[in-house]
Amino acid sequence: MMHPKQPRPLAETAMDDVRAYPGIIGVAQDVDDRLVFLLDRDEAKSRDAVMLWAKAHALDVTIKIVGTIVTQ
Amino acid sequence: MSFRDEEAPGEPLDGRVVPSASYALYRRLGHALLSSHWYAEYSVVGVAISPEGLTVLVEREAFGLEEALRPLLSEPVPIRLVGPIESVAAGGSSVGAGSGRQTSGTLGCLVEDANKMRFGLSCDHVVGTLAGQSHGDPVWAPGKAHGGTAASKIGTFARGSNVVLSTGATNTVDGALIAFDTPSAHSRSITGIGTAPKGVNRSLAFGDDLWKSGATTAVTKGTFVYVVTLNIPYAAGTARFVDQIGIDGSGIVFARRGDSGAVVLDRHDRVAGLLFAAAPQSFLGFANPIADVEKVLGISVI
Repeated sequence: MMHPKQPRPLAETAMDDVRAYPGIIGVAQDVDDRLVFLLDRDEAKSRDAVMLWAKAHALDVTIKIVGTIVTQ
Repeated sequence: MSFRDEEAPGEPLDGRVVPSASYALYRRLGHALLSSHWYAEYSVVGVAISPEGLTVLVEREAFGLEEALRPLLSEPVPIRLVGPIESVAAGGSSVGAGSGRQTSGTLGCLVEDANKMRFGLSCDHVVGTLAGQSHGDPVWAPGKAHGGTAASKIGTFARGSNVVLSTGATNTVDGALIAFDTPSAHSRSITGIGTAPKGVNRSLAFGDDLWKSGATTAVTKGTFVYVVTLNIPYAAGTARFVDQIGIDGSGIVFARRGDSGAVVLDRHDRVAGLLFAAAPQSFLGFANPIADVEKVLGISVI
């Protein structure tokens, strides 16, 4: 699989840093190397946490509300 | 062992009733002959009954079968050459755990290990440990959610990917192998797609078109848009997965509950991933990269 130019652990690091906030279920990297924070619901506190994280890392990120993850 | 004296009530069959003694013999013979020994030695793939009597079905010419059957029968029965049995549980069809949580999902495709042993590929949370199953527990096709019962057993849970339930874990694969009771009964095909897969694609690129056939949403299409790290909520706990394939259905739901286990194919019908989760509200599906599936489970797609 083609990986984004950014080192893979960045998404994992981001996930580790924000996973305590409600609704944050994942971090994706898109074709433009941009980090996309996946939330299962819109939580103001979590949005703030993501934007603070992005500012601290000087990164342009986006937030995507994806709804509930289902398995099976 | 002899079944000559067996007696049982008659059972309806296609609106008719077959002789009770024949029916009892059919049941017992079917149970005895559908073991791996009879397939390996004589390519026996089935036992049939009609009002005219019993017939033993073989995949190919089987020398010595009549002699081998003689101790079991009071009189010879016809042996019919039927060739390879077409799929009874093709890729894309429903499978599920016969015990534990009795979850239902999708059979992805056929795979084989280094010893050329053939297995069915699905998700661990569908037929394996995450479904509450242990090694050797039954796998049904269809799964319980799609009407499966104990009579639907097609094999057993062989081994899984040992998903670590932790939000700090670096899981890559939610996969499991199904050891078929009758390996020859399952062919290389995927419902709604045809004869597939046609190899694997281990170097997927952003923007690649993908499709899958699942037990719930059937054939759907999407595009590879994300490499994803995400937490997956299972019944037993939450597990973090890294480096997953994120697929966007572009306004159409790519997958729903019950589709897990489907293989994700590229436009050339090569397997690119194993679907294991979805966010239907946002049209996203998530798949394990096939290179990781092969490595973790020790298999190759056939």
